[in-house]
Amino acid sequence: MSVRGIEFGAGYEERQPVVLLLDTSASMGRPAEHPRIDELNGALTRWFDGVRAQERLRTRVEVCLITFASAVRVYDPGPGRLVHAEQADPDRLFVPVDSMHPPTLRAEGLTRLTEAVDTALELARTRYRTLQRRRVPVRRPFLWVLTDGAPSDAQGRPLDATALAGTAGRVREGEKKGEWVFQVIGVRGADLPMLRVLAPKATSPLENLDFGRILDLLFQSTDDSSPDQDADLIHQQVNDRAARLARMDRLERDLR
Amino acid sequence: MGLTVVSRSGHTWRLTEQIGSGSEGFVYGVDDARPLVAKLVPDPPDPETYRRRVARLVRQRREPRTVGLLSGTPVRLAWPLVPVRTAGGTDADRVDGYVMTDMRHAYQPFAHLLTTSARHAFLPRATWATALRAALALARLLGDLHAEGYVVGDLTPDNLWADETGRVGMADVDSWQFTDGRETFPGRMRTPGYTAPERIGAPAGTPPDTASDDFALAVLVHQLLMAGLHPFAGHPADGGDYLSYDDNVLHGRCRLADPASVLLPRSVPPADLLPRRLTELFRRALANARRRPTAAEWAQALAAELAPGRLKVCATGPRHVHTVERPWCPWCDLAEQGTDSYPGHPQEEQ
Repeated sequence: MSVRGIEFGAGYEERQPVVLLLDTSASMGRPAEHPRIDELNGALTRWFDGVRAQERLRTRVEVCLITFASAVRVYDPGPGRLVHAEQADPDRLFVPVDSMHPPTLRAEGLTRLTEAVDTALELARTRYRTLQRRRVPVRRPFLWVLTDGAPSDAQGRPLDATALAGTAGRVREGEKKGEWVFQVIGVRGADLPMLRVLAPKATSPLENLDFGRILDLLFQSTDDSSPDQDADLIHQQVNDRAARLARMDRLERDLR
Repeated sequence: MGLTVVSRSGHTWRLTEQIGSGSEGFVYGVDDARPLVAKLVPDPPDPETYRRRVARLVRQRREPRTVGLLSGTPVRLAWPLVPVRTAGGTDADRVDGYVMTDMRHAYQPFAHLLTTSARHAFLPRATWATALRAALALARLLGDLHAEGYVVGDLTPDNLWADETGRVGMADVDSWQFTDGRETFPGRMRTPGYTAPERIGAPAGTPPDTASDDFALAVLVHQLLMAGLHPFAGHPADGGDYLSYDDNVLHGRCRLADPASVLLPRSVPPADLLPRRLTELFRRALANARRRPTAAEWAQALAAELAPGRLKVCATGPRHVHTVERPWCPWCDLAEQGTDSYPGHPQEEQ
C-alpha cells in the first residue's frame, strides 16, 4: 500500500522530532569576560554545521528551537527570526536537523522556564499528531531543556516547588502516555533541586561540559533509545551516558 | 587534550582527538605510525569482568579460531590488540579500554551505503551489485563468527564498516558474547530496529544467540538491497499510531511478509526488485523465528545472485544494476517517481 506526501529528504527513515529549549536569561550573559551565551551560540552554529556529516541524524531528526528569558520565543526558520509561539505556523517550526541555521542568541531578562515548557509540550503534541495523521512513521518527540538558572515568575521571583507542580505534572502525565520524553540539562550552577522538581529522574548536571558535547550526547540518545521504552528508562540511559561523558571530560581536562 | 594510555607492559600511547562515542565507550585517535585507535569504556557495569573480557579477547587473537577470522587485507575485524588503561591519577580515576585497528583506514561507515545522498557523496560508484557484495561479505563474516562460537549480539550499522567494492568490516568486538574455557562473557547490548522479536521486551540480561544475530542480518541485508529501506518501515495500515520499528516487528508489520500491514510512500523501492529466492529467505527471516535462515544460508543465496549472468546493467547508464529476473529496471521506475536511488554522474550520461 502506498501513500503520497510522506517524504523526508530522500530517505524513508523514521522521523524524530526534537524540541530544544534554551535558557537565554541574563545569567547566561555571565561571566562578563566569557559570556556563556557566546559559548552556546558558537556551539550551536558548529553543531548544526557538523550534523551534515552524521547520516543517522541527518536523515531522521527534525528540530524546533525555543528560547526563554522574560518571554518565550520560538525560532521561525522561514524568516529566520525568534517569534512568539502564537505568531508562527506550527508546521513550519520543525525543520530537518541539517537545514537548521540557529540565530545568534542574546542573554537578558528572567527565566520563564515553566511557560517555555508548557509552550514546548503544546508544540510537540501538535507536531506529533500532525505527522501521525499524515501517516509519517514518527517517533515520540524528545524535549530537552538547557539551563544555567532557576525558574522564575513574571516578576523575577524564584518559583518554588508548588508553583512548578502544574507544569511538572503535565510533563509526567505526557511521558506516561507516551507523548514525549523530557530531559533537563543543568549547566554552570543551575538550581538542580528546583529543576528536579520539574523532572525528578531526568535532570543531569553537566557543570563544565562544552555545549557541543552536550548536544552530541542528547542527539545520540535519540538513536539508542527505543520509543516503546518507559521514559524513566531513557532518562536513566541519558543520565548514565552524561555521567560517563562528564568523567571522560574531567580526565581530559585534568591532563590538559 | 593530552590523554595517555598505558599497556600492562608499560607501553604508552598518546591519544589525539575523540573520534566517536557509543552508548558505553569513547573512541580516540592514537598518535602512532600505524593506523590505530583506542576505545575507552568509563564505568562499565562490572569493571573487573570488563578487564577480564578484554584480556581474553586479546589472548584469543593468537588462537586458531580467531587467526582465521583476522586473515586477509583489509582486516575485517577491529579486534582488541592490547588492553590499556588511562595513565595518571589514582587507580579509581583510571579508565579501561583497548587499542585496535583504525577501520577508517580501509573503510567508510556502513551507513554510507544506506542513503542515496551518502552513496552519491562518499561511494559514487556503488550500485545494487555493490549492495549485493556487501550483503554477501556481511553474511560470510557473520557465518564465520558463528562457526567459531562468537555471537555479535548487537549487530547494527553503527559497528559496521564498508568500502566501495562491497567489503565489510566490524568493530565493537568487546560487546560480543563468547566463551573462554569455563567462563561465558554474555552480550548485553541491543539496538532498536535491529533486535529480534524474541529479545524485544525480554528482561535485561537475556542473552543473544546466533538466531537473534541472523534476524539483525536479515534487516541489514534488506536495507542494503532496498536502498536503505528498513524491512519493518511503514505506518500501521490499521489506522493506529506509529510507534517504532520494534513495535512493527512485534506486530508483524512488514511489507514483504504482509503487504497489507503497512502504508509506505510511493518512493520506496519496489518489493519485486528482489530475486525470488531472496524474497523467500526474507519472508522466512522476518516472519518466522523458527525457520529463520542462518548467515551461511544467506551467504550461499547472495553469492548465487552475483554469479555470471544474474545481473543486468540498464541501458540508461552503468549505475542502474538489477537482477535478470526483473524484465525492466526498478531504479528507472523509481527515478520516474522522482527518486533515483543510484543516480549517474554527469560524465556518464550519454
